[in-house]
Amino acid sequence: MAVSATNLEFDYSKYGFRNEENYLFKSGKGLTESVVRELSGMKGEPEWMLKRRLQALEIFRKKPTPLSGMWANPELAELNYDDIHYFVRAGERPQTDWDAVPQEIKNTFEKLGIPEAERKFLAGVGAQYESEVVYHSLREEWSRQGVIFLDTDTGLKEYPEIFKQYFGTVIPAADNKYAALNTAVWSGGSFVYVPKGVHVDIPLQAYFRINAENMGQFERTLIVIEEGASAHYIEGCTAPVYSTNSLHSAVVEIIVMKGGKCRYTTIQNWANNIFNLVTKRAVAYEEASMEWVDGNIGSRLTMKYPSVYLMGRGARGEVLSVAYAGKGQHQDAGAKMVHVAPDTTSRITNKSVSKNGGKTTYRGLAKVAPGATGAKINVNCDALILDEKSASDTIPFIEIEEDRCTLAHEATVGRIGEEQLFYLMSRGIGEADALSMIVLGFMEPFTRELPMEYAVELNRLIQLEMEGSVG
Amino acid sequence: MKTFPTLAELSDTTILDVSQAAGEPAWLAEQRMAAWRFFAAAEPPFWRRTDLSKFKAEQIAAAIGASATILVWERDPAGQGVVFAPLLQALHTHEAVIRQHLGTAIDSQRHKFVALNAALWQDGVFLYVPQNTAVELPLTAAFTMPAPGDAIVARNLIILDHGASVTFVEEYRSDAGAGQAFAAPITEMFLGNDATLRFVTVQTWGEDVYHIGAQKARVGRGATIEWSAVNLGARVQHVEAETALEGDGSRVEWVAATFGGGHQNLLTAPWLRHIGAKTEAHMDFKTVVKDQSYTTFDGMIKIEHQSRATVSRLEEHALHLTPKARSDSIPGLMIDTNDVARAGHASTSGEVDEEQLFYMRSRGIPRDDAIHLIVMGFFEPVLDRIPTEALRQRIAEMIEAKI
Repeated sequence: MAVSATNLEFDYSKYGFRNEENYLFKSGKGLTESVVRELSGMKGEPEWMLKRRLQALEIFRKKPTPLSGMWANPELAELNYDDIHYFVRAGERPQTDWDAVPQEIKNTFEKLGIPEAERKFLAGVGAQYESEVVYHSLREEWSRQGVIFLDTDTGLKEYPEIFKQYFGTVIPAADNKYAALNTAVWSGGSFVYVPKGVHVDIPLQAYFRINAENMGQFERTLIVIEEGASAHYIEGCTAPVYSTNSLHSAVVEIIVMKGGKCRYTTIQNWANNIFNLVTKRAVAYEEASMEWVDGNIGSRLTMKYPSVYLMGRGARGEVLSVAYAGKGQHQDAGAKMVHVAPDTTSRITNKSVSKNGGKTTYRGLAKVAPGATGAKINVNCDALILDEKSASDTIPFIEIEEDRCTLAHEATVGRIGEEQLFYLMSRGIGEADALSMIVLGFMEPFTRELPMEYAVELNRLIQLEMEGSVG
Repeated sequence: MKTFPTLAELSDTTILDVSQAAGEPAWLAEQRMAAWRFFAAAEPPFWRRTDLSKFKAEQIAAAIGASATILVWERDPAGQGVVFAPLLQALHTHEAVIRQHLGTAIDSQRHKFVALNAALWQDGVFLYVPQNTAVELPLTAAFTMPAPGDAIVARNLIILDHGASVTFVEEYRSDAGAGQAFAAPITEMFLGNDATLRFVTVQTWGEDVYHIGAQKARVGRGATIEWSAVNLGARVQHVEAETALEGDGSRVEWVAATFGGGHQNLLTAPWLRHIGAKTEAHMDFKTVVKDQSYTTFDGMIKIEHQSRATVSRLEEHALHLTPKARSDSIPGLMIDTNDVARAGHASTSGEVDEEQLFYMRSRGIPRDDAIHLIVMGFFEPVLDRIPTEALRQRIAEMIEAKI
């Protein structure tokens, strides 16, 4: 039965367009010590940072590509580290005035609707194009209260003390090969500092865009939420489609002090030839709360396991994620919760859909360390496989070293029920619409946590991905 | 007792000599030599959750002859055409069927210890149940460590022809000794169409034993295996167990009870493969840990691409009795098709439910007794499957003693 999808007016091509490459600086392909020195020198960085970079480069070289094992993927063999530009500078320096951003780059973000969104509902916006942030702004009411929202390069220059205190403390370079790579060549990303007791109650947003072919983007984000403060950070990512692979390897470190709250939302819609290898980790102290809301739609291969280390009594962690894998895609996403302190709680909810030969993997760690008495963990993974070509893996690691705790893990895998389809179709809904209704319903626990604009966009993306799923 | 030289001194020529002296067929000698060559060359496996840091492989001197194998039955099944004999002995009478099956469920080159078994096995049992034959009473193969510090390498081959049914119990036991002892058993099971095997495997070694084993059942069309495992003994256990539901409509009911105490390190790695159409699996794994013990459930359910309308359910629960014990659970799922009727798993870990305790204590049951009752109740689904009263009693007593 051939049924075509409806309600698909959403213009996907707006993500796929590409601009002419017209760069101020583009490093040669491949990663050498001189690339790192040059990059650091161009940024005018302090000596300690250059040292860190060079140490990390050594670690990156020594660590093997993780092709087999617990947190590994054979598909990483497709990555050629020598065929990547590690640093591309597109604009002079981050602009705070939208009009000062180069026209071509401005066009890119105009097409993506960034300034429009800023006017509507954001407290601050950052836009990164290739290696560096080209635009950054924060509403005055927040800057007056001492909130810092800068690109990370500027953050390092203007707030060296805060930076030195926290940089690399949550995710050391030796954590994994790609964290080492990021530490060696990081550029751009966001630096957020929310002082004690300040509540930034509308979201801060960053948008990441890769435009050049064979480009490696290595943004580095550092978020510090002081005692009793709160913030919500949103990031979106896109890239045009080229025939060769690009690499996106970010590191995100978050520190949430006593009683603080942080939510970090990602909508990842990279082109289908981007390797998205990201390390995201937060530490939450006493009574603090950390939430990762993570949506993965794009990329060739995503490997991302947002983590929360619950370090203080009563801290709370949550990861809510969805993954959608279509043709040629592998979404290997998950979560890690490490309970170190007593009375800490965490919840992991993962929903994945695979279709048209795509593969989803949930990989997770739930750990209760000795002494974390009264810890409670709840893990739920649901996978939906839409056709016989697609696949789904669930690999949860559970490590319990304390008796006074409770952990519950539950996973289901299934196909779309004929009964559900029949029910909807008997009410006059076409098969394609019925299918996409069921998928959107399946993901609803995730979408309802997004700001409205994002929820609408995500639903449209998924509907679009669903196009032609019946045949 | 006669033994091979220690692994440090053993060579393929000795293995050939022993094989020839026992009058073994040439194909078997060749299998043993090939496995030994693999063993000699292979790197030791890196097992993150199995502690072999104090394991002294070079000291191992494996027994020659099947003197540790004791066969037990209430009624001799030979009258029904059933063969139940030490595998070495059965080679003389049933060579063809042994040759056809031996090593075809578990690849001898899977890792070093499997190769070691394939090279050196002496103990072990051969069980063959003819077509449409039902053996009423359980058949038991008991393996007893002859003396502390010994090493036994057992190979069990269980073959059920179409429509056959039997209960087979394998039991490993010893008294605790002073030095390191070693057991490396492998059990291969073949279920013909519509056969039924009730497989009970009970490991109650003394606390000086390293038990590194593998088990696999290949299940034919419409056949059913009821697999019950009890793991109470040994210092270190590493068991890789697999059920392959190959035939359409094949089923497994798989239950396990593991109790870690002292400094025990007990790992079970059950693999379940759904291959045929409409296969069905129910797994219920229970673990209790106390003291400084460390247990691991490292499971995987694989629903293969060619399977259809699979039903698969795993329950996996760990109960912690004291603060310092550790349990790891890795209930993995790999699904390569969307034609799944139902698949899922649930896993919980935690302490004894305070509400249950409170309920019992409010009825006048002292706290310690209440914990005993809760643990015994927790293991009951497994204990219920133990086919002989004497064995059930012995296991229950061992569990009681551990609590």
